[in-house]
Amino acid sequence: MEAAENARVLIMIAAYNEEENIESVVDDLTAHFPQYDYLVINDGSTDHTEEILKRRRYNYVSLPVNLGIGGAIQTGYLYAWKNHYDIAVQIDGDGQHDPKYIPAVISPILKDQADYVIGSRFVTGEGFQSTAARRTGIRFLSGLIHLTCGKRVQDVTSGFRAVRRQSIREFSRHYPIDYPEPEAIVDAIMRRERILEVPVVMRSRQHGTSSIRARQSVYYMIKVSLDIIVCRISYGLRRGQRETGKAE
Amino acid sequence: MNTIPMEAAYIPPRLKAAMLVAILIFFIGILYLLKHRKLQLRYTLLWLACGFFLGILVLFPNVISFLGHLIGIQTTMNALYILLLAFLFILGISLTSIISIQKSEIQKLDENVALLERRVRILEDQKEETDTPSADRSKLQE
Repeated sequence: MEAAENARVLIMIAAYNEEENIESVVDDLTAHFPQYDYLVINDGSTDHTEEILKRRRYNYVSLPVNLGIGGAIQTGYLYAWKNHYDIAVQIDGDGQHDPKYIPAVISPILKDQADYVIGSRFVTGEGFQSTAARRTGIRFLSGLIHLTCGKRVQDVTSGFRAVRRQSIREFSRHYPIDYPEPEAIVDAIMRRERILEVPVVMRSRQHGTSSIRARQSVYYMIKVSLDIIVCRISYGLRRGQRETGKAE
Repeated sequence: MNTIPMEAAYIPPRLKAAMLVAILIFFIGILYLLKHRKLQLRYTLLWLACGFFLGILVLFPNVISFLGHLIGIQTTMNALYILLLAFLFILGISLTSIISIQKSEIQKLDENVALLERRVRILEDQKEETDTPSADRSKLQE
C-alpha cells in the first residue's frame, strides 16, 4: 500500500440531470479539499448539467448514452484505473454527501485496516435518515445480504464509498448495472474484501427529484432481492481468495 | 352448445421427471453463464422466472388443464404446447425490444463518435500547422 502522503485519491461524482446541485457539490469539494482530484461523470443528462460543467471548466466526462448509476460509476472506476489512482471515492451529485467525511472514509484504507469503506447513515443515527419506508427496505436488504454472504452491513444503499486499488481494477471491468449499491457489496464480500462502515451525516437532497436511487416499491424490493440471491449463487459455494499486495 | 369432454390433468410421470430434470439443467446452465459473465443479471431473472413457472406447471398440471379449458383445448399436453408457444412469443418480443434499444444506443454512439472524430481531426490539423518548421518554408524561397 502506498504511503499515506503519496496516495492518489480520486473523488467520483456521478450526475444525471443535476443542473441545480452540481455547482455547489463541486465547489464545496474543491474549496475544502483541493488536494483531491475529482471527476464528474455526466450520465447523458438532458438538462443543462453539461453546459454548467463546461462553463465552469470542471473536470468531467460526458457519456453519450445514459447508462444509469452503475455504468456512470464504472466509467469513474475506468478513469481511476487508467490514471493510476490508489483510492477511489464515490459521492452523489445531489449534495447528500458532505465532503468533510471524505478523510474519514479513506483513512481506513490508508491505514490498511479495510479495503471497502461505506459511509453509513445508520451507525450513529444522525442527520438525514431517509423515510421510514426506505429504512425498512434497507434493513431487509441488509438482512438478506447477511443471510446470503455472512456479513452484516447496515447502510446497503449508501452511495458514499471508498475503495482501494484492487477494487478499482475489478470494478472498472465489471460493475453491477441494475442495483449497484447492494450488489457491489455482495461482490466485495465474495472477493473477501474487508468491509468497514464509517459513520457519516448525510444531508437531504438539495434540489430536484431523485432519479438514480430507485423508489422503494414492492416490485423493486423483489427484483433487488432476487438479484442479490442470484449474484451470490453465481459466486459458487465457496468464497474466492482475497487479493493481497499490489494490483497489476 | 356442445360441451367438449375435458380430459383430467395428466402428464405421464416419466415425461414429468424428464421435464423437471431439463429445467434443473437449464437453471445450472444459466448460473454457469452468469458466473462466466456471458449473461447479465437483468436478463437472467427473466429466464429464471420462465424456468420457475414451467416447473410449477409441470408439478401442478391442473393449472395447465384449467388454462387449456378456458380456450377450449382438450388434452393437457396440447395445452402445455400452446402455453410454451405463448411463452416463446413473449420472450421473442421482449428480445426484439432489447435489440431495438441497443440499436438506438449504438446509433447514438455512432453519431457521437463522428462528431468527436471531426474535433480530433481539426485539432490534428491545427497541430500540424504549428509544427511545420519555418526552415522548410525558407527552402522554398531559394
